[in-house]
Amino acid sequence: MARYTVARLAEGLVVLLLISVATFLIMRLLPGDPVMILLGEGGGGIRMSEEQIEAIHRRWGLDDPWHVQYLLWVKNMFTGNFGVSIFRPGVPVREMIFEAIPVTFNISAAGLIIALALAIPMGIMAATKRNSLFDYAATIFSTLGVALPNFWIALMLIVLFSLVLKWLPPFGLHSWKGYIMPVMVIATLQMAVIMRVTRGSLIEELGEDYVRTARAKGLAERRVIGIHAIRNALLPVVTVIGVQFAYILSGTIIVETVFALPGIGRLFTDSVLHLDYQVVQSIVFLLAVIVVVVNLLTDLTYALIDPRIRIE
Amino acid sequence: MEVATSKEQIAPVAEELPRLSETSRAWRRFKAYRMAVIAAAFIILLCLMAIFADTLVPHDPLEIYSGKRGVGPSIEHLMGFDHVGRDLFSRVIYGSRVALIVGLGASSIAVIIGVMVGVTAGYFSGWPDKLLSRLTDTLMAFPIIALLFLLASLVGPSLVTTVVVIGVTGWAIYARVVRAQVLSLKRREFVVAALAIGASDLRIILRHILPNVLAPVIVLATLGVGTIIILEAALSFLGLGIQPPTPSWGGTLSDGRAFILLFPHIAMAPGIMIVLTVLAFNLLGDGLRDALDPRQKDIV
Repeated sequence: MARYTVARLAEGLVVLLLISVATFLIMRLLPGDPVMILLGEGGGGIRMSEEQIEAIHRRWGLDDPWHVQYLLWVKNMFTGNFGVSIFRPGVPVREMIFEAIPVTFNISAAGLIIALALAIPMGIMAATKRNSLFDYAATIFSTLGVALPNFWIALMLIVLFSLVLKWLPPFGLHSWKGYIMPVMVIATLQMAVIMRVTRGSLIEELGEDYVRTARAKGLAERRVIGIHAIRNALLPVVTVIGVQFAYILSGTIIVETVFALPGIGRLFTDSVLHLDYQVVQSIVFLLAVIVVVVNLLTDLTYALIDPRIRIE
Repeated sequence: MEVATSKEQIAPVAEELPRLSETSRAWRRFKAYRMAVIAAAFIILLCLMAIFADTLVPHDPLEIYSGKRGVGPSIEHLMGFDHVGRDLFSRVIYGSRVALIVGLGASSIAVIIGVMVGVTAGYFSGWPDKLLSRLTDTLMAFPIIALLFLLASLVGPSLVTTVVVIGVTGWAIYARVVRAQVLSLKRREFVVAALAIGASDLRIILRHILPNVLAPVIVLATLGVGTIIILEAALSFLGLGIQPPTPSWGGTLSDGRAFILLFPHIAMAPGIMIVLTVLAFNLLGDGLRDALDPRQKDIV
């Protein structure tokens, strides 16, 4: 386990390094002088002399060779020094991000928990009662679920719950009711994916020799499935959660935009549209780091519960 | 029953046997998967619709009918009017062009890059593999919508931008699958034999490795088109994909979002088209997997 952990950590570190290089490069691809971008179009109405611009260059280290700039940037990113917003002058980016994180966290965590709570029992039911009516319904749901774009689900929910039934507010987060539709959108896609994986993996396990042995020695079917098969069948689900994490974050960007929620995704799209690249680079970097860490944790969890993985 | 022994009796049967080649057996399995056939028919219809959009549309998709803002469906205008008074049915038909161009164009780019990366990583193990694999991991770590949104805003949104940006960020999954395939192919006898008689690396890759990774790549690419169509629509929905007034499903959905409480019908038709198209590509992909790659058969 120790060797696997070290190898996996080393891989994670390399990916983190590449993420920082990639984000740094994307932001440096911006055309034009960063000072001018900082001031906004046409200098934002502020006239500056050549010396003033040069002074800013020197202060921000913009004349330094690129590797010095990069190292400074990395140091700032990893110490949480994300700089100051361009669009909302003077407001630290870190503050804006910390304000937005709870909303995004609540939506994605609630969406994932609800999806797991519903999809795993559904997947087990579908696998144990194969070709039953329930199985067909569940399969249709999961096939349809992955084909439904989340922004369209969101719009249709608004039509149903806000326009027709008038139960829920269409936009905003003025009460807990504002969370219901966003969470439903996130949960739908995850449910479809998790159910499919649970069902497929349990069907595969049920064909294994150890299940036949358990049945042959007269164990109750509930014990065979509940104690023996489930444990192995749920392993791929752990991996899927890790893989899906990046998609959940992608999903929150869309969902927060549709429902006008003040989360990370909304902050991100707004900042891109306002050319607030200080915020943009911090969010991109932060999201990628979170995804890497979550993937690392799921991989290590997987190795911890399934010793077969560590040997490879 | 009499047993056939004479040449005349055996010949027709013997002739028939080899004709049931891998291809025709694949076709039989494919036909067995009826949903996939229906899906394929739908995709062909969609392609025809996109190609002949000019003659098919009942109205000009850009023409603004004054006084018709947000008017609902009628016999003359099957899907009604959008928020500025354009015929939605015609706009949805034209939208299929964007969806297919982006879906097929971007996935071609992604497949080409992904196969090249995957073959290089899998065939030349060692540092190229380590570097390319970590590069693939890195790409997969970025939430894809965020990356697309940022890149589209940097390059400037347009149809070409959408195709290229989705293509160059979407290859990771192909690289991963191809690498794994190549790793196992490399140890197979026919590759070892080719190496032993002194075939060059390029020849082994082109003649022996590539044809064998084709099947899973075709399956994945078909499944990928659906995902890409959703990404394109998402990008247009967020305002950085296809630019107005060019009709696209995502763009129309974006209009639909802005007027969802006033004119809810605007968001219906393009959404249903996206769902059907994505569903069709997913079902076709499942069918192709059963047909081309029986070992990878999904448990149905």
